[in-house]
Amino acid sequence: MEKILEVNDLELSFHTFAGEVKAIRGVNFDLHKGETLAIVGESGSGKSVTTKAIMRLLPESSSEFKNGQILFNGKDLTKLTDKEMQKIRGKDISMIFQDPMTSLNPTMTIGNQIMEPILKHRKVSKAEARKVVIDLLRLVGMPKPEARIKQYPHQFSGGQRQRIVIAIALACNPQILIADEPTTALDVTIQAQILELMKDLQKKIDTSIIFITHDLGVVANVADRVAVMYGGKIVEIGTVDEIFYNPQHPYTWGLLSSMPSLDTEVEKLYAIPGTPPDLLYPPKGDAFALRSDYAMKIDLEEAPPFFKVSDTHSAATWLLHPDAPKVEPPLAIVERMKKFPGSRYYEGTEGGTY
Amino acid sequence: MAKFITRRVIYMFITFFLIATATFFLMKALPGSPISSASKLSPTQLAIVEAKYGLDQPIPVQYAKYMLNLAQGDLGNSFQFKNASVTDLIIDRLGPSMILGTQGLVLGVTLGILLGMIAALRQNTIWDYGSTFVAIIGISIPSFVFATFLQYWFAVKLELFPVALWKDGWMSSVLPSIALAMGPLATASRFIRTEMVEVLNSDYITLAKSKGANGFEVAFKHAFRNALIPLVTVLGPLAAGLLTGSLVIEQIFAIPGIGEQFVKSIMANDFSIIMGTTLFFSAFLIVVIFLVDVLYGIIDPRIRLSGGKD
Repeated sequence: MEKILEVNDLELSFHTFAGEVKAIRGVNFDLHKGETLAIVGESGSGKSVTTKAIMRLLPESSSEFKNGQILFNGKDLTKLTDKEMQKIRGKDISMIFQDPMTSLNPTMTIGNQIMEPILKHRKVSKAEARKVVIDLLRLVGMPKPEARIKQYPHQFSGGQRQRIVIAIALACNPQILIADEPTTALDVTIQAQILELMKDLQKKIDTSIIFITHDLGVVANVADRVAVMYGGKIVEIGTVDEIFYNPQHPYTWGLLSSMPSLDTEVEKLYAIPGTPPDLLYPPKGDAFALRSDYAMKIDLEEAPPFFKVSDTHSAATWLLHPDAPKVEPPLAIVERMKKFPGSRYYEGTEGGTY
Repeated sequence: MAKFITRRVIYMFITFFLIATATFFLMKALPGSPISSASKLSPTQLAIVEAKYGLDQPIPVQYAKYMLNLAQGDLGNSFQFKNASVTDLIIDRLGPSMILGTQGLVLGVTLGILLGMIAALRQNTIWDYGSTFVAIIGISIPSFVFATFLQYWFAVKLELFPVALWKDGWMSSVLPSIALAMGPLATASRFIRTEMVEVLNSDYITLAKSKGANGFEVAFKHAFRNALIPLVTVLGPLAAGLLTGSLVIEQIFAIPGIGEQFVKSIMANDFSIIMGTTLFFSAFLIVVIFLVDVLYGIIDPRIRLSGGKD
């Protein structure tokens, strides 16, 4: 598959009064054409910062690229000037934000807000742009678009506003669409509608999506591949099935165990103990070691490299080192692994390899 | 909108009526009368004069008469200025005050917005600190102190403008306008800076940037209008501040304005002019506040003014 975006060894810091916060500490991933990559992780894991870095939307005064590249069609986005970046934003890469209640300008009609990127990036007249806007609104399922383009954001509901934000993001048929927790601020029924809409749209227009969320249910629903982030690093990356049914990193185990599920009988939901690391003083070894039941001595001393599990799946944990002791994952995870061909617990007929 | 305006106009008349009533009775409650100071008059003469002006009648009758005249647009005649009609006197004096007030407000608010924008867009730089400094000066130094400084430096030392003379046309209005502008300038620049900083950090500005908008578009197309909303709210009180501020400034620069006349009339117990000027100031304020409300709705679509329901 064709790579459309390549993030290599990305390191980014924020300069604060307290000191340098290393928000992203070496992130690597590729985005292929037409796929949906979900980035999951808890608050502060660096998932939003990573995507804002791709869009170069972080404040220039306080953030700094320390290392690495973001290659988009061969261009390194970290090296572009602000002017060059403005030509890419909204045209080639666009973004959907978390809270539709605050992400639209309250004093501008929604028609004008959707029209803005069209007039900016495409060579069309205002009348043509207006037609595009109406088509876009119809595409995202807004009834009576002709009448509604003259209205202001406060005249729309939350779900409708998110549809408008999506219409803005799609205005120039972007190659990459970044969705930063697009359903977090919506109630559950509207969440489902918006997810349905996004899946539907991806089929209609050929775009790659980076989907940020902390909701694993949403991930299972929309993603092709999943990257799990923790403490400013990706700790595990693979296809949806690999992450859900053959997870290797103790953090992924923790995440999956803390997801409520219909087929477990346990009454108390699992919670990962402890708090995320303070990235003002990032830990030396595996950032998750202090919260992990499976930590080894080396986890505290040296950060683990990526170990390949399959061609599409790799995880950064010392547990995958040939010399590491074999550990038993939590019970819920073993249950999951039993369903995955290729896992050592597989109970199917094809037989596990371990 | 039409319904809103009709309703507001009715309210405006009620407000005006209440102000007129309150001022009338408060004034009557003051000791002394325009004539009592003229001790040379014999009791007979005094009675004749009082009868002429209707001051011998009971206060409710005087009130009813005054209000009836007021309804017909007649503000009565002055006691001290040889019986000239109050309306004429106010109109005579209105020009200079209006020129000063408008120039002061426009200059102050425009410069204030400019300073505030610069401060917000160049946050935590020398520009920002400079703008804060100007605002602090503007707020903490009373306009009459500032006026004296202006007179000393630009009129006495540099001889660029007249010290206190209303005869050189526009040149005479420069220093007093600047003195008047300092307050609004400081207020406007602080309001705009605070609001711009907040607006620039809002989600819809990030969205505007993510559409590919450049710095200019972000600041003026998206942020400015939203940052204006709180400033519009204080425009009414600001205009009021200019009116009261101009009383002192007109004294300092010897400007034959309405404020100066007002002060003189109070000294002389000139009932009809006090009433007339107060009513004029009130009417002016009521209209300004009304205009501000309309402006508010134009800037912020969430406050589109309807008569309760759409």
